Amino acid sequence: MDFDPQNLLGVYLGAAPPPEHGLASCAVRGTSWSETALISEQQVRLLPHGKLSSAERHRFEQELAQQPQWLQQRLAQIDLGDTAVCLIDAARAPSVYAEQALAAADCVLLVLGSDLPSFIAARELPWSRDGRPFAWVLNRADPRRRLEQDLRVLMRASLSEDAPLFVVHRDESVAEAQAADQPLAEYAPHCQATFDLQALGTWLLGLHHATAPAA
Amino acid sequence: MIGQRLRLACAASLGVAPQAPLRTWLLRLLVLPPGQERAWPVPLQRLAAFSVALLIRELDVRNPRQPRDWLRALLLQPSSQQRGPSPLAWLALRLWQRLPQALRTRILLLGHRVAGFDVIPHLKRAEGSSHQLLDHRFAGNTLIVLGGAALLVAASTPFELWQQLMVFLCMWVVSLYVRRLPGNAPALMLVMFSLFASARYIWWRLTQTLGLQSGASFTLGMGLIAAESYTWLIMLLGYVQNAWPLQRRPLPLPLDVRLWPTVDVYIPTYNEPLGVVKPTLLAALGLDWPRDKLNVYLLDDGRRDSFRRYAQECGAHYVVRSDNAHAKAGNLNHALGVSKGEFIAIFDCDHVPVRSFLQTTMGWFLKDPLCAMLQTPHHFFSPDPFEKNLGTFRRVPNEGSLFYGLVQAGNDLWNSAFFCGSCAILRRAPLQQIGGIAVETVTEDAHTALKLHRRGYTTFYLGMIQAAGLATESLSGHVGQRIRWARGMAQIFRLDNPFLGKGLTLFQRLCYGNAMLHFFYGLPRLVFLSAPLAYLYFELHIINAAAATLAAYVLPHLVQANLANSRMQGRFRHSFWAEAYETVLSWYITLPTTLAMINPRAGSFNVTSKGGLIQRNYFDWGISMPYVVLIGMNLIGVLLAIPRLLYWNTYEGGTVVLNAAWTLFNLVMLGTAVGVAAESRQIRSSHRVPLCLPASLYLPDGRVVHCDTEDYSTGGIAVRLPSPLTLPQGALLHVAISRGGSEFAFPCRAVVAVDTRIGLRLETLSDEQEKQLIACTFGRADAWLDWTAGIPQDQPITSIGEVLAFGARGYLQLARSVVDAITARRLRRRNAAAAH
Repeated sequence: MDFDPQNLLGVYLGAAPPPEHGLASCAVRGTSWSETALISEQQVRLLPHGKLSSAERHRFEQELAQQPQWLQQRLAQIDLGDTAVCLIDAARAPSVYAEQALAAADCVLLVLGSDLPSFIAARELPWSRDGRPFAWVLNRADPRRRLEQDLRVLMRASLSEDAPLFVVHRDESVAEAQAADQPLAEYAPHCQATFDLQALGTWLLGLHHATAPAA
Repeated sequence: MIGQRLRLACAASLGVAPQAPLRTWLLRLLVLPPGQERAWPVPLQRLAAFSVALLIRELDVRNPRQPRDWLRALLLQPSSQQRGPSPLAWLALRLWQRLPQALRTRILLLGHRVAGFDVIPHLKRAEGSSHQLLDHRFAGNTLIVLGGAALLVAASTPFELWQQLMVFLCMWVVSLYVRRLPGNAPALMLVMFSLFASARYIWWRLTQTLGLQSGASFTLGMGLIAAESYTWLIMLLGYVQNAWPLQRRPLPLPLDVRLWPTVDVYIPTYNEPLGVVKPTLLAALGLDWPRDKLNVYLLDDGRRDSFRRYAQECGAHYVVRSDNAHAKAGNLNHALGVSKGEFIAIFDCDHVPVRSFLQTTMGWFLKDPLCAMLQTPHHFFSPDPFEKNLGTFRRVPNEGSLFYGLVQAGNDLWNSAFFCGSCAILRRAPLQQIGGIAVETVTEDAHTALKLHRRGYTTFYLGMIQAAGLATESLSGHVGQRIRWARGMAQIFRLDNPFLGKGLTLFQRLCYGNAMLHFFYGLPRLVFLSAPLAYLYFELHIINAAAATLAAYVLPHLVQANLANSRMQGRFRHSFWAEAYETVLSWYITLPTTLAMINPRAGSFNVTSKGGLIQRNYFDWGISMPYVVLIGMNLIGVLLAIPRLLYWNTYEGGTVVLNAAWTLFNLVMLGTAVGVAAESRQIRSSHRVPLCLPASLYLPDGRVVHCDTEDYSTGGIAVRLPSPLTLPQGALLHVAISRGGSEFAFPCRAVVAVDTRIGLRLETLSDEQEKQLIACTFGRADAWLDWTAGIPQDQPITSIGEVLAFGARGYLQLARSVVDAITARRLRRRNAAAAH
């Protein structure tokens, strides 16, 4: 689910240009959003954000601010089934989008850029974990940079101990895969970023299997 | 008259005519005439009839005379009535099914019981406050006296030849079974058997076989018996020393880091290049210990500016002194006056410690305030000359692995673990009490430990590899090092004899005594290598015994000793390798040990050089010449055995065969010795250490490939890619390895690419990067964890095969070298002639 007004997740999954209609656009215009979902070639189902005009976006954000549970309610309307995993790509925190996503999620992945400001921002972020599974994802990491070592030591020392830290390396293959309109794992199966994302995916699936009701 | 009648009776029963020729008699003895049947013996008949009747009943055979009914009964289900088997048959059947299972369970139970037995002494010395086992002096001494008396009785009981053989046979069969049981108690049982067999042998030799003719055979015979008594004594001491190797584990440190003591790390160096010292220095600085409690000292006896600069740049203290008195020991003692730490960790400048060294070892010092020294193994990640020249690296345990795998762990039980000069920690106070590191001998390490023990301190041995270094490259270097040890041990034996003086327990005396006497093996080994020649050359009988009797006594002695040692040492030394190692060193060790015994204060310290390169294959003639001579002598001996066996000494064939077999065994050992002398070429100056870790390879275009490392050295890393990749020639890459939570990237260039394996040569690294590289490789806590995992347990038969093969290879190399030498000389001569 793309919950970012940039509306770019569809592009990453192979929809060009960005989809017109989606969750937000339908909500603002009062139309049904049940027809807006897309399916990518790899059978990933996407609920796009949809294009909004500037005025529409303000209205939508106001509505979200008034109803903190808005996203949670929408999600409850979807018949996901027991085995489905819904990934919400929320806009950068702090924002109403991130707050909505944090309120709705069973499990939180906090994605950080590999630099000091984003680390500090992440540490200052006000949100309550409520015992949910939670992991840090350090994006675009590059151990060749001299600052990188210090940053990681700092992170490990000050971030909560029971949350794992996943590292996704800065890898040109990611950009190349997007340009080639292919999923990363198909475009460059042996690249480091694929490996890192697979590790993250394995962790998520492990959580999912542990919490999903037995069939 | 009687003969005639007997003949007639026999003829009648065999069915031949009395006048028939011998041929017919023989024929009739084996083949019956047609139509005649000879009855079975009555008991067999009864047994057969009973079995057949039982089978007919159980299988329900309708008509026992019809083969068809038998077949049906055997193959098909019983036809009509369902009758249970008779009780007897049922019992037999059950027994047959259950026997193996029952036996197996019993054996396993016995094994568990025996293994449970093992724990008792362990707990006392490894866990408890140290000396409980040794404190029961009265009980211990009583046991020793009783055991000795029993052994004496067992050894001196006269046996007939066949009795001796039968006892040996029983012992051998039981041993073959016992050696498979787990735990240490079966090993002790094998030791007991071996002691029994060997005590009988040496008693018999001393009492029955010394009636020699005077003159040459008396002198040589006495020499042989002296050599044999020496080996016997060493064997006995070895059994005491290695009876119960402790498997000491690390003790955890207190959680409160403030309770951890201060540690000084000493790295003495003299003439080694900076490249050798760097990794050790960086790894020592990277040890996991509170920063304010760890000080690293580089003790440079070479007083080199580059060393001073480097030490200061990377945060180590640099210490020099005005003279080089007492070499390494003096260097360490000087540093004792400079540093202040409570503990002192010593590393030779080429022994790279892993980061966990202090945390693994220091727990024992905090537990036992009397503990003055803790030693960890010396581990070598490059092959020593034996391993290199014979190609046995990581396949056959090397010479040192017996000492660090078994002997030190065995010493530990008796509180006599030795200090070995490196990879050890000493407590400052006791060390200063004995006046610092001992300087009287060239093996200052063992002598220091002896002095500590005399003061009543304890020492520990922790058999976990916590540091690794380079082995000596060439055979001459290796031999030089062993000569130094041998000479030093002989010096201690003369200057501070462990059997005399105060402060040691009986077992400490025995352990030290063995460690020192052990180095006198040179002369006895040479005696064994030449003893059979006395008979083969000059027909001198140096053992007064019939060959069969000698065999009946010497075989149990050798076989049981082999079985016991194979069980005790199996993981650390394979059968017959001790002979091979000793044979190589015997010639060189004989003279220094003898000289040191005569004048212990003569001679100087020689530094073992390491990190050299052997540019080409060559045969070390200088070092192998004594063995070439011995081979020649033994070969002539074997040749002489042929006419002796066939013409000259036909009346004592057994003696000839025995001596010839002995000579052949010697030839095999000498062949191995010569094989070691053929130095094989060593191409790489830095040795590759296998290591499999996830890594990432950064390509110049920004892509990153996930791969695994295969091996590393100080200069490079080899990685295995998941798929083949074309790399731009000579482009700058980065390889990143993670360690703990951090990930370190190192600039490198691809030098070789074979399939998916890429060899990366590291670019010049910054000091910080070098430190990180050491932390990711040599300094990893798990760097040497599985090093010996691939070395198989000893199999005496396989082992003798190996030694035979190496012996044969040695001869091939010797032959090739002889041919080469002759060709070279001829060429030279021709060139010289041409020049004229």
